[in-house]
Amino acid sequence: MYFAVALMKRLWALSTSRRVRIGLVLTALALGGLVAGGVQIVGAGNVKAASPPLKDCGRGVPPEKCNPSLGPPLTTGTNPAIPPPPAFWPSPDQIQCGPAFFSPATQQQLTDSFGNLSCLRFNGRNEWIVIGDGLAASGDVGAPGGGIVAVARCNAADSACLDPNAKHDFASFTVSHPPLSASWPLRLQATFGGRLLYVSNANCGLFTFNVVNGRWYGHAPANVDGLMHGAARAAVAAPANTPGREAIGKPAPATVAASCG
Amino acid sequence: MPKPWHARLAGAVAIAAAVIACGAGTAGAQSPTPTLHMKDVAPGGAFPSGANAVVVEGLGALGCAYSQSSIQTATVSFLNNGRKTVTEISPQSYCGSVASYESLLNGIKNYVEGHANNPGTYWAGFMLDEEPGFGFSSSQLKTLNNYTENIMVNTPGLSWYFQEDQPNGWVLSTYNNLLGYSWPAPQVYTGSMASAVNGECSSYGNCTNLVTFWAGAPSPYNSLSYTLSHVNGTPWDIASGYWGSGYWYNVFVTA
Repeated sequence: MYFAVALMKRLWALSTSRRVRIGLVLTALALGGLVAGGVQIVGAGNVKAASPPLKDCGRGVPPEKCNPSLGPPLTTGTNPAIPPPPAFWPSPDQIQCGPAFFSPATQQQLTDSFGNLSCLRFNGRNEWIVIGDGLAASGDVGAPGGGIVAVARCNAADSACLDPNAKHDFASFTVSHPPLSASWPLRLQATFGGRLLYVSNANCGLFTFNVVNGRWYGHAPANVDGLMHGAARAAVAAPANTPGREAIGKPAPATVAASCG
Repeated sequence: MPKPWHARLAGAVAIAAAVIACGAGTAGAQSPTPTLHMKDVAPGGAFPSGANAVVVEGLGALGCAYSQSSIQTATVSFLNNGRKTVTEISPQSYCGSVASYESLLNGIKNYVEGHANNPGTYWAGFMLDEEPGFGFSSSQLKTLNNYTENIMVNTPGLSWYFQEDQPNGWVLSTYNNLLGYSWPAPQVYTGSMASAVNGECSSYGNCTNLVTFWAGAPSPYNSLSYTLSHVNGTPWDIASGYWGSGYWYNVFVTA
């Protein structure tokens, strides 16, 4: 408002002919703006009437992937419902270890040595399984003890041992190291039949770990079939197993490179 | 005595910069909070209880579990029961070559398009779990991703592909390059992974993520609310035109 008043005062001080010329220019600019604005408003109205705004489907993703109106009409076939395929050696449900399964001190020692822990038992089985992924708490360097799979077997009648909330001693576990123990992460991809673990060992490869005998086997489905049928192929070479009481605090064993690939 | 205008302007700029810096330094959160989730199941398994969509976990396939036949049959079985479905593959060099993965993906795509009743509405396509520990180089994975884009671009409707990558497995520029035109579904199991996802958002503007959550992750990332509250940007809602409105996350379970 202040600027408008000041501008008017200055205009008033000019000669009449100059005031007229400036007035004409301002009028032309105002009319031009009105016409342009009108076109914009009318145009905007037309676009709105034609289609709703398009959704962004993500960087570089074709727009029809999230805007059904842009693609061809979708057809619905008349294929029959089909049954699911037979499951490949499914496992029973998992029972997770409770928070008091290990003492806080043991839990900390295990995490410091072997990284993030998974601890479970398959329903109906009597083996407790601890998997250390070999990854330090920071998430981007290896844990000193490397990745492990540790197994403790309970007597089937020992209800305390089978109890996920009872305290357990890691000394009763047997620790198995994969061929490339020092690398990370050791990742459980799948389980078969409640006694085989499908474990990827960083860039060394994918192995089938037999919970029953603590040995590592190849990843081919035929290896899994063979183990489940009691006709196992040969195990792959891996570091020697270690009693739980000796494994904590020890560095990861040397790599058995011949088993990788 | 009043401050000169430039002193007042400098003060205002300093306050604005402090506000912006404070905002950037504070841990962000996905907004809005996603409430719908998809969940893994092995081929042959039932639709996961409580989930809103299913991810058929095909693992490495080829020379590893599971078979192509079981993966594609499970996918179509869910689709023809009207289930929202994704098909996951984890390419691993010890299971097959890049060329064999291309053939696998194309074969599954053709089977689904030929046997599912309405894949354009219900099949969100593939989810590729790509990790540096799985043996392929980033350039090999880029080749596979480009191939996937080329075969999925002509499928009708929603069907496209996610990358369920380990985001901190590469330097940020490589991670960004790998993501390409995919829908990112990064694993967020540690602070390092969350940092990589947030770095992708701040450096490359790729801020829509289907966060992959794992209840077995190290604490505190075994908490869904904690995990989602440490990822910036927005959750995946791309399917709303086909699946109905809603924001999504992804739950990893051992198949």
